[in-house]
Amino acid sequence: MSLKPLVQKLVESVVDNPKAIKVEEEDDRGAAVFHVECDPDDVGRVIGKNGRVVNCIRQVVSAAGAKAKIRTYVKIDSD
Amino acid sequence: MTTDTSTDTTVEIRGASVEDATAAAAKKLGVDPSDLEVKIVEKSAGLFGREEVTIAASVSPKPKRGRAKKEAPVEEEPAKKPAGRKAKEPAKAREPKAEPEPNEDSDGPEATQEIAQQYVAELEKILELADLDATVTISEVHGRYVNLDIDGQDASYLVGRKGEVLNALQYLMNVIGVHTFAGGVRVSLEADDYRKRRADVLTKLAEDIASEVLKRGEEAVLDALPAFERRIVHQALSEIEGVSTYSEGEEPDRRVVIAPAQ
Repeated sequence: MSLKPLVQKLVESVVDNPKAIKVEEEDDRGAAVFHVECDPDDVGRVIGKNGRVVNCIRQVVSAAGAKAKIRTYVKIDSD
Repeated sequence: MTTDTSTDTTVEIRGASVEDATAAAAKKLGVDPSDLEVKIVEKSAGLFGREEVTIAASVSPKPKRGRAKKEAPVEEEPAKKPAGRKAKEPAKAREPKAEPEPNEDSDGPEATQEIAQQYVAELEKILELADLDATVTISEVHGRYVNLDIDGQDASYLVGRKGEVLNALQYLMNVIGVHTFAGGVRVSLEADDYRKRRADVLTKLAEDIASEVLKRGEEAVLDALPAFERRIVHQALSEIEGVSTYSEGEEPDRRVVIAPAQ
């Protein structure tokens, strides 16, 4: 089962413009890499002060990954 | 274990206990342990009793030779003591709320069952998407806090190493809550009794270190802890005569210092 909906849900929950969120999942030799795109105005919310929000998202996603026995990476694409 | 900084008269030693380190320092300086002046530079203790202290030991009565050498600059932060910080009685005549660590406490929001339910629903959704098998129950609603319990076979995944997943999830839930439905009502999460167990461990640790501080008359600095865990330490020692506590450093590296009371 993919954790993509989890990443999507977590990111959507912290932004002002959830509609702009796009999550792409990529398989990197067994690890799941999630690329997150968001409204440029929301980048700060997704990352948080000192990256705290995105790090918490990573923690939670990787806990789910621990059960599913996959390594996970969450990346915020900004450009 | 090993040494790093040392001069003729002062050594900084890391060891498993103050006694160990003192003995090592005495050996290194070639003097009797009782001739040493020992300062605890750092004391850390992991969850599983792995304990390490760093001490700075110097020969107390007379420097052996050439006291041109200035006292080794032991990295000991000046003990700045924010005086009012550790007041035993939070003498604030505000509403009787759960006193959070010093932070903004407006007379604001009141937790309600509705808000608690919303937190539960939000958390359940997340657990479901994470495919983690656990149930969420409301354990307490009071002041501006909602306390939720997470139990079930996958709850341990939600605790993580040293509770870091639980803390992360709690932080996110608060971000989400504040952002969407909760106003200023905060949520606090418990899973598998982790917080309770952790509080017991911290209380015990605090008491042990406090008695060491009392014995030696020197300050001890704990490992960095999150705010609510620092509060447990402050509270545990608020009743103990002879020691005072305060915090120093910036999040997320803020540490509790246990000091002899003046």
